[in-house]
Amino acid sequence: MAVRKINLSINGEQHSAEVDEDTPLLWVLRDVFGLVGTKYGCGIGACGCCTVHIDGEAAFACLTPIGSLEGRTVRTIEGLSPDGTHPLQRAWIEEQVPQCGYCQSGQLMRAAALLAHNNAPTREEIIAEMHANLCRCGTYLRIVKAIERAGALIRGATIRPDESRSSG
Amino acid sequence: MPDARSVRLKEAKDWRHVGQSVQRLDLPGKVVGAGVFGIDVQLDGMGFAAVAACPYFGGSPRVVATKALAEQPGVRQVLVLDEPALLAAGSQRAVAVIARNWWDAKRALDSIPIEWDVPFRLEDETISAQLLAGLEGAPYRVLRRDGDPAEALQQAAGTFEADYVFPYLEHGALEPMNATAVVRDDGFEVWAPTQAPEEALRVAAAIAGMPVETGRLHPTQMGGGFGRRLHSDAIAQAVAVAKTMRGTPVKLVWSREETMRHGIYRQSAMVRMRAGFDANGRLAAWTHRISGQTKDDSHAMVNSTYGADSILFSIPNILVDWAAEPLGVPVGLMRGVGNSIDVFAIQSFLDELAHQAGSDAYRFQRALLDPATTPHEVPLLEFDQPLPSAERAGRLRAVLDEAAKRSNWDTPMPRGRGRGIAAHEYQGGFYAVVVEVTLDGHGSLKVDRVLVVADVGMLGNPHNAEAQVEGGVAFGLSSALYGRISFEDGMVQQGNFDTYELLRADAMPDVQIHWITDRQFWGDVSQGAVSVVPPALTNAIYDAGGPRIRKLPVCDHALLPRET
Repeated sequence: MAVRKINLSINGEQHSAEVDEDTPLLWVLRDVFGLVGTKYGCGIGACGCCTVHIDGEAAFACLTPIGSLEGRTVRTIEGLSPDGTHPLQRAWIEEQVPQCGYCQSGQLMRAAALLAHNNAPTREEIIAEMHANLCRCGTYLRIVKAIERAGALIRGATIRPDESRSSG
Repeated sequence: MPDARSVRLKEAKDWRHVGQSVQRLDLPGKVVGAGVFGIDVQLDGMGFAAVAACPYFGGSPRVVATKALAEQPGVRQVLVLDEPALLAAGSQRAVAVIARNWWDAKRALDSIPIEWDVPFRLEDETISAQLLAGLEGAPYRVLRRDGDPAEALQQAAGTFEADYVFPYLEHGALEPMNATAVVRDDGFEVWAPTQAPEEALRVAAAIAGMPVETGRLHPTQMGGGFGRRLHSDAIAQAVAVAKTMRGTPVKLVWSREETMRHGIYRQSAMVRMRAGFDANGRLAAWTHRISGQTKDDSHAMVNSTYGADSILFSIPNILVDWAAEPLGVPVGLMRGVGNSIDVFAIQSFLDELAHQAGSDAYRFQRALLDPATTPHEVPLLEFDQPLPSAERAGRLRAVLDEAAKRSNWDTPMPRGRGRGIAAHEYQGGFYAVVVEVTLDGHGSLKVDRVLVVADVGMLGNPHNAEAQVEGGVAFGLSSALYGRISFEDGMVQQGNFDTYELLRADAMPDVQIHWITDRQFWGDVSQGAVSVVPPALTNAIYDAGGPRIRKLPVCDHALLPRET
């Protein structure tokens, strides 16, 4: 345990934090930088509420010591898009995904990393990836539909009526 | 403002907006991380508090290394929280560390073990023995008696009996318990995710030692409530800390482990069902004994017996009674309330009786739902829809019929697959559910599809209602498949989502919802599915050739083919 100055990029801006180097990124984001869109749910990488991107890959901020991030790039929900119009954010509204919304920052960040690597994931690939993130309100069906919708938006594909929300 | 009595409400046929799906106003904020939940409150100069409550219910800290804790990096203050007003608010005695950020507070707290006095050590075996005694002893209260059930059982040509066993459950809201407070010389403010703001303000005033009028409560968004946030225990702690640091706001956050080990749990219970058939094979007697845990609040009955005494079946002799003993575990309401116990017992038992009678579960239950012969005075709680019993029986029968039709009930399933049915009324919402499962023969289960037919009267915002039912299905499945809080050596064994699993995306089935709507009344859309899904699931497991599950959760059972 040692206090050290760590320099890193968060949402495109250079930041430095002077905290114990084993402090998890999650608590530096929330309590030092005031970026509270990234949530605490479990602290052990079991719920995914704290999912952010580190150098473009989805990661659990609760398990990432700040000392490991010198010179690296972090993106949080606040930086997913400049104005809330990332295709996933649009699809999340179209499908009316969130209920309480607490897990949704993490869901969106994991889905964004998935689509950045593969903009046409199969339903199985979506579910395998999103398995890491819990939603206690049970919005899983809408999350899958919204990721499919966002993938189509990114590909410039037309959304067929049967791909849009349909139950009822 | 006009006198409310002079206002004439629009007739249902003239409504323009009610009944239309509209987008939620909170979602644009929630998809950019801008929704402010309790845990997100930020105030200038704020201190961050972590707490460790006594892991034994009713215990107290014996040795706390206050000085050594205070010397840890970043720590501002160390407190023992044990004043009577805190205990009255439902808090356990606890140690709090306040630091410059929450991680420093938590790390300091974890660095030096606290020694606790232990008043009693709760064990699962003790709880089971006490609940079993409740099944066999005298009831605490008779909730319903139609006819002469004891005599009818005596005279029965055949009887059948089954016990159903339920574990404690924790709400599993993803936002851990938390609250933020500041106490000044002339008043106090609280920011908190709460389902009971008036109660929260009252509790905060009592702890602050100030009149309610000097306080302000700012309810924030909630990262799930499910009944857990009806309780103001964390709010009380935040105010207790803040009043020692006048003028400094304090955000108090429980770790996940604290949240899970200091729940206000859905109680553990046992239910014994008995039925008597007459010489013609008709169901002549039905008894339902709930053995649960009492608590001195108005929720105790709803928490364990709701759904038991409101059955609409045309059975001449019915007894529903309740045995309740204090067990020392904090219990309270959880999404689904007492239905999550009693509907499982009722709908599992009906499935078993149908097999006994050589019928099928749909037709067996349908025959018991007859508006012409349903009992006239079926009990209602204050928040029930005051529909006549005959109409309720008819509506429940109608959703059951629709579910059977839409699930192709009479089409046999291939080997290893099965379907189960269950139905119940909850607060004016009439639900029938068919669950379809696949068992691979080696112990693995897949829930393929859940069909929900719901008659809830008017749908205010249909898209939201759909979301509530999807969520209710997930909540019910999660509890049925994995939910279990257990005790060993006096402590809750589970601490996090590795040992208390919640439903994940891969286990979420396809959900199909069919609404029957009626502009004449408003019924529940949030809770009905929670309690009807679990028995439909276990009935489906049996139909697929798996075991009869009378003790939850399902994950405790080897789902291998039955010996035939």
